[in-house]
Amino acid sequence: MKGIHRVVVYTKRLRYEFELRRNITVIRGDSATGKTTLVDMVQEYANNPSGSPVELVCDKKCYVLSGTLKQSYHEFYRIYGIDLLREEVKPERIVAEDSNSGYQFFCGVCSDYNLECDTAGGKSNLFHVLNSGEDEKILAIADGAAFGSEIDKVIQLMKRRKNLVLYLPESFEWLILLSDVLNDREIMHILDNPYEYIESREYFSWERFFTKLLTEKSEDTYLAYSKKSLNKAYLNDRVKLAILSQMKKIVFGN
Amino acid sequence: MLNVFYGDMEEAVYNTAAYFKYDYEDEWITDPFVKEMILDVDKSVVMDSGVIDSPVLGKIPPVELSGGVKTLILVKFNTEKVFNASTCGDNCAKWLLRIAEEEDRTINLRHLLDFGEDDFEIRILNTNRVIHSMDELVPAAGELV
Repeated sequence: MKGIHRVVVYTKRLRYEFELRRNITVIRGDSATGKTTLVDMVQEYANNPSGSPVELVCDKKCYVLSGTLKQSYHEFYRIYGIDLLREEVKPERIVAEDSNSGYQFFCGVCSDYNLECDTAGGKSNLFHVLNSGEDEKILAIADGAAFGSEIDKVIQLMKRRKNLVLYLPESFEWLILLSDVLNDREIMHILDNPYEYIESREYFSWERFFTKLLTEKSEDTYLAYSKKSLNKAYLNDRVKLAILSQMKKIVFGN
Repeated sequence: MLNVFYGDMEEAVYNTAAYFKYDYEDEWITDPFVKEMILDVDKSVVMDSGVIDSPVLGKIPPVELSGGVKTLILVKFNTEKVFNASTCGDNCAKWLLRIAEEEDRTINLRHLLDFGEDDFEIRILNTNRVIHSMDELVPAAGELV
C-alpha cells in the first residue's frame, strides 16, 4: 500500500469517512462509539457487494479479517509528538528505547552536557525503566513509528509523573534525515509525504524505510550510516547540533 | 471487591461478544441494573428482552449491544467464568466497580483500563495487592501488561 486511501462506508442511518496512510491503523475508544459497527458494515458489504444496504467507496478492496488477533499493533500516528509540549524541557537524564546508534548518539550528547544516559534495552522495557526512575527530569526517546503497543501505559504513567517527557520522532534515522545533514533535496520531498513512497508490503514499519533510506543516501560519504554502531562523524558539532535542532523545545545545556 | 488479573490469562474468555451471543438469557436484559447500564453506556432503552431501542442503530436485538455492555452483562451474571474486560472502554469501568460492590467478581485485563479519579478498591490478583486509586494502579499494573 502506498499513498492515502479514503474510505467511505455508509447506510441510511450511519456514515463513516476516514483516510488511511499506513499499513496498520488502530481504532480505540469508549464502548458504544461505533468501532464494531464499522467493521460489521465493511463485512456486510464485502459479503454482499451487489445487494447490501451498505455502500462502500474506496480505491482498494476492503475485507474483514476476524478471529482472535493478538494485541500486537506496531503503527500509530505521531499523536504524542513535540507539538504537545507547551514549555521548553531541559532534561537531566535521557533514556533511549534502543541500544543502537540512537542510544550511542544521545550518550555522546549527554556526555557533552553532563547528563545521565541510559538505554531501556527495548521498547517493552521503557515503562519499567521510567517507573523505577527517581524524581529527575527524564526525557524518554523512542521510535514513534514502532511504539504503538506501549504508548497507552507510558502515557498513563506520564500523566502521574510530571518529571517524565516522551519524545517520539518517527525514528532516530528520520531525525537525521530531517536535519538535512546530507543536503539532499529528494530526502526532503520524501519526508514531506512519506506515505507516497513507502510500500507497506516491503516495510512493515516506517522506521525500516527511513533506516534503508539513510543507509543508502549516506553510503560512500563521511556520514555513512550503520544502525548497529554510530559513525563518529554524527558526533561532530555541526552534525550533532543540526540533529538536535530538530528536537523542538528540548534544551540541552544552558 | 473487584479482583483483576492483569496480562494473559489462559482460562479467561477472550472473545466476550461471541460468548454472549450463545450465553445470554432474556431475563438478564430486563434486569433493572442492566437496563441502567445499557442506558448509560449505549444510550439505548430496553423495550423488552429481545428489543433495544438505539438512537443510532434503531431497534436492535441484545447481540447488537456494544461489546463493552455485553461484557458487563456477562461479568454480572455468569460468575463461573472470568472474562476479558479489555473489551470494555473506559466508560464501562465504573460499572465493573458497581457490579463488584455487592458480590466479588474476577476479571482479566490486558491493558490499563481507566477507573477514574475517585477512590476505589481493586485487588490485583497477580500480586495480591489491594489498590485504591489510579495513582497506585498505574505503576503497579503497568508492569504486568
